[in-house]
Amino acid sequence: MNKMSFGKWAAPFIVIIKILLIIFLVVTLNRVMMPKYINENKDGRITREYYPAAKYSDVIFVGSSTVFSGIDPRVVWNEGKISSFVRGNASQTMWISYYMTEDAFRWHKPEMVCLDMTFIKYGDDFVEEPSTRKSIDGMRLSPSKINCVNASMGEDEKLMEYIVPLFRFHTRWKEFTWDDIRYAWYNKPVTVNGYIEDDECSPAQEDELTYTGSFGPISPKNEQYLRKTIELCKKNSVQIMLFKTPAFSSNWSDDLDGEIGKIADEYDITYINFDKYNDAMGMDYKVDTPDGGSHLNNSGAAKFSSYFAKYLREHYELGDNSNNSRYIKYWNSRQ
Amino acid sequence: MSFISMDFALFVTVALILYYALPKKCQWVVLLVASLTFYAQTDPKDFIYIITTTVSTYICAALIEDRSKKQKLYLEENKDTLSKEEKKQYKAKVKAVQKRFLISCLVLNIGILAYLKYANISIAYINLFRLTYFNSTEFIPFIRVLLPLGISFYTFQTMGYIIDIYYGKYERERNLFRFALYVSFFPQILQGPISRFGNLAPSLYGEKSFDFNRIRSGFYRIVWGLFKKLVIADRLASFVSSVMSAKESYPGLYILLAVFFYSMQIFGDFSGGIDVALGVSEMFGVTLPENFERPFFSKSISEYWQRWHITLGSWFKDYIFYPLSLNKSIIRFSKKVRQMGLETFGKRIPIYIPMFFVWLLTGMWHGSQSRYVVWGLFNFVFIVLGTELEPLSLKITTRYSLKESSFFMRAYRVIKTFALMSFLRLFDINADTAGAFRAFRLCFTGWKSFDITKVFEELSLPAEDFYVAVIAVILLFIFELIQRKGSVRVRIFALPVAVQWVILSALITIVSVFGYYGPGYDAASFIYGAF
Repeated sequence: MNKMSFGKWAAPFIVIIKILLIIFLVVTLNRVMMPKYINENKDGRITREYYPAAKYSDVIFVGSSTVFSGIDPRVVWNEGKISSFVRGNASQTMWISYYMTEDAFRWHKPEMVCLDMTFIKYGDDFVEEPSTRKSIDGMRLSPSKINCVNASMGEDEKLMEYIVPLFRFHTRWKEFTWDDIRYAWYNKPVTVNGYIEDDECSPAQEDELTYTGSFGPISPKNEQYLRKTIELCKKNSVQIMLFKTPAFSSNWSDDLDGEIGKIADEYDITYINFDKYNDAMGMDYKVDTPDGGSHLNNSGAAKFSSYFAKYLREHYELGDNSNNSRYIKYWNSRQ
Repeated sequence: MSFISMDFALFVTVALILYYALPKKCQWVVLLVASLTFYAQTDPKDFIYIITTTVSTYICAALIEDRSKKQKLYLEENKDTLSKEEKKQYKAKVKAVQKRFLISCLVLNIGILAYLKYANISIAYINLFRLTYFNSTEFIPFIRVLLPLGISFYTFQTMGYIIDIYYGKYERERNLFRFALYVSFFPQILQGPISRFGNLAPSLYGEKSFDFNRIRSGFYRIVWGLFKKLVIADRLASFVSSVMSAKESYPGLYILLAVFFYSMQIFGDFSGGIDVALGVSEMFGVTLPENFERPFFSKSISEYWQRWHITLGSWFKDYIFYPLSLNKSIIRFSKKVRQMGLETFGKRIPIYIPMFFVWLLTGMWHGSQSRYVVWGLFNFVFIVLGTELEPLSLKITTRYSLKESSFFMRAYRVIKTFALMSFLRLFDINADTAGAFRAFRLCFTGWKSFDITKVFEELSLPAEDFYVAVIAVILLFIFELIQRKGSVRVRIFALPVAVQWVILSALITIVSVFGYYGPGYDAASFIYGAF
């Protein structure tokens, strides 16, 4: 039997199809071998879950773990009618926060960026591969992602291992489970617009909050990326404010507040350390924290989110989508 | 730049695009620029050596060929005036001049290789000698030099070229830059194969059109090479090195296992690297010679060496063995011995003396330490014993009515050869000759302390890795079996497209998932890349 033959014109298309098939294979292998973050370490899903929700992200909260455990976008919508998303990850450095913001702008220009300062206290040399991975692996391929990787990776890491995560995670075959296949193409959200629910409660031991950390001055790289983030927002006419998520942790210093405040003044923007509003929010660190005061649990997040939502509604020009059926439908589905 | 890196993949992709996008007459220039770029990725200082070898060989080849042409012209012009004797004298004179050029070239280039490879070990021996016999602690300092990339390979390749020019086997390459490409062609510079100019030149300099089938075929070969290197060799390497570095604390069975695993490791490593080299080369339409032909199916050591590192073996055969076999002094000596009544022994002399030198040099080529010389000489002894004991072996098989062609006898010979070659590799794995002998002895001790329930706990190879290694070796064995009946790739390409894709996808998946690379692994660089 004669082999089916195509015209000469078809050759390039066949080559393209073959190349696409190889790309599909590599993408599938990437999906299968990467950690899924479905049942544990859910924060590893936050970055990727932003994209389908981008068009409803009028305000984005950017920062570290204190943000994804402290701000519940459902409460922000219910209390302030502000549609938001949390782009926060564990140990998210200022440079990752900058690229998270830049990346967000590629998909949907928000009305406002609220940038958490909690992690600015650490030095320029802060590298924690698992956290960096959780932050960046979910980011779609773009110049922002490449620059983010270059700014964040440690000495032993390679850019290519972030572009093709299979090169990093192929060793997971030893701990392979069926969940790796089941959730390879799983796209349903496991976070609530970046918020990770936490019911645990582990009361703070101290009765009074005092800062004992010897942090500051802000390191050059942290300052550089803080300024870059502010300038990026200004350039794009996006409102920005700086804040520190409330906590009952002594790991902070007044010097940092002073320095951040100065930079905020320089750009004529607001900086609020919400630790100072614990009483106003009705925060009780005997019940509102899962880890002795470092982070907020569900009840703490509800209090802070409500307070923050009202503050934003009062002090910033944010659109009102409370009657927008599309938004109503979306947020009803998220409750 | 390692063959096992994304940098190399990107480098080859860019080179391929330029190679087929630019006018065909520029193709060799693209290859030359790519080769020089590849070479510059190591130490730019290495260029001095490769340039010296290239230019000196080019000049000597030009001088040798020039004399041949002048001789031809002179004899043509004076064919009626010169007597036969005068013509003979003239030819001898020209040959002597050409020989001087040849020897100068060989001395210079082998001198560079010898200096870089053996200077420090010679200094070490001199220092040891002075300390031992003269109690002198005034040591000669070591030279600070690293072996330039691929020096053993390109030196042998150029030496083969100049000898061939001397014997008038083919015309020299007139363009220095085209010749430089022959010396530095990037897929083969790292670990061979050692090509002959006459075979390589047509495809190296020829103009090629883009052919997807060629790219596909090369790609398959690269992936298969990566399978051998990453899934088998590097996985076994961690086990072999951990057992051998603490051999006294392991039961003999583990050491024996490490010995056999090392054979598989070095095969996977070297032949895998050669597969990558040949695959990349094929994508550019350049045909490099095969370097392996299922060596582990050999039924004797001499057959093994005709199937392992074929291009090095044939180089030694053509440029050392045959010239020495035909050497007048050796033939005279052989004659004398035969006249003394030692007919059989005399007949062997023109074979064994050159063979001795071939194995001495093969050992030295592999490394500067004395263990490599011992390894080479052991190979020589085993080959001689194999030849001399052949009649006895035949007697035994006849006596017990064993058929040489039977499966049992063939399997016995294959296993015996594999075991012998694996034990000889002890000189390669261990840091010195004494260590090799000690490891051999330890293979047969402490078997009682072997506890099968603690195997994976005691081995530094996790159980999963062990199973993967075993399955991969079985896959390799099946592949080699199929290959006996012809190219596996040709068979694959004859299958329906969907099946081809299943095979390729499976291969890519196996290499990318089970490959021993990335963070957490210390993938060894190619063993033969150090030569």
